[in-house]
Amino acid sequence: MHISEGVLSPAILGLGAALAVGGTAIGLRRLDYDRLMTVAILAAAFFVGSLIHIPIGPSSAHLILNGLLGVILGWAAFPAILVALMLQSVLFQYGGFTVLGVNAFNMAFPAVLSFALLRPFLYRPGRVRAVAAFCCGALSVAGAGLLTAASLAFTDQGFTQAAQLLFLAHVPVMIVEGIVTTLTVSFLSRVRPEILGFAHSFEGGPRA
Amino acid sequence: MRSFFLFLALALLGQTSAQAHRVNVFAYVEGADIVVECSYSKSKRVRNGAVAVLDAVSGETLLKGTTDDQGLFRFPVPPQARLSGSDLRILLQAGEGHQNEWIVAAKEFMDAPPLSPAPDLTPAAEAKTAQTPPAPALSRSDVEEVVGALLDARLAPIKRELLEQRQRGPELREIIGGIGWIFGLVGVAAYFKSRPRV
Repeated sequence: MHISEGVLSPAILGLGAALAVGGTAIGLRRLDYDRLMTVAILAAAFFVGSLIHIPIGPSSAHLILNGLLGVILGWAAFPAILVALMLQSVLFQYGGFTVLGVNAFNMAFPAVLSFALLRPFLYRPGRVRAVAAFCCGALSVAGAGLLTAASLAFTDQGFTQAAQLLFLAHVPVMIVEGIVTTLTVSFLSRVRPEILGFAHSFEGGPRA
Repeated sequence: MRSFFLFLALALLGQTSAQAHRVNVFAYVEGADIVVECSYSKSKRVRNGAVAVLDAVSGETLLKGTTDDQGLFRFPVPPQARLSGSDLRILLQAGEGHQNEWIVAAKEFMDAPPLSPAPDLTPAAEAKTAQTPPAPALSRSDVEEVVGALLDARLAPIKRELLEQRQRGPELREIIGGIGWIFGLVGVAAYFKSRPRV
């Protein structure tokens, strides 16, 4: 999912950077002082998650965890993912500095979007919440693949081929991430509901 | 529904393109050829990756090819590069936005023999060249050629090993360092966001 340096045209790089900066600005403005530590822990989880490979047949894919960040952090997933990706590009040479904006937007935006769409269902405890959390995890990965394919639409490979390959490679990741998100959400809503913004407002009244 | 999953399973099995963070590419001179090795990780090779060989100075594409099942692509030193004496830029495009490049310095291939000599280098022949003084029939350049080819063949694995060492993946040091950075940055954010005590 990390697009390498030198693949994309300057126009797309610029667009991605602008969108990532916008998302990060919204995320930082909405960021609560009390939630800073949660952001740090999840940014660290995202940073390390890319090193965990899921073997599937001859191929393998790595975890992305963007859905989990979206569910727990909302818009604050943008700064968390941006920082984690920047460190990955500096320390591991994944992606690259100029593609940072595109990569960050591709991974953070689907997560924020699927959280915003599924939020009403996440308020309801029980099975509805579990299914909604699964969908958040899975759809964020699918959306990231779709946006990556869209970014590659103007390269030699073209949109359709890239989208097909990315989707097939990520079906197992979608399932695994859906399960991870469901388990984390159900665990946190029982043990630490205040970490989940929606669970908190359900149990303790609405919160601005 | 079942047939859909069956299709999915088959599609996943048939799919060889691997999803990874980045591709590695490195190249070395072996005899009259340049060998390009492409991999996602130590065990995972790039199959059918598009390799383009460019003149590093003029940017002109000299030749193109694809990697085989072992992630290898082998090509003879292009005559244009010999003439111009500029470095070779090897560009690998593995698809799905994965791309990397490697520069082969001109001095590495300038003294490579013009054609694949395929010399008969048995240990006996080697011992002979080493011990007996060169027979009058054997000119100085002949000996140089034989010894040079032999050295190339012997040193190729070592060269390869050295280059491969540079392509290491993330180590514990970097992972821990990165996590430290994240918490450090959050510390800075906490400092600026903290409400001043009155």
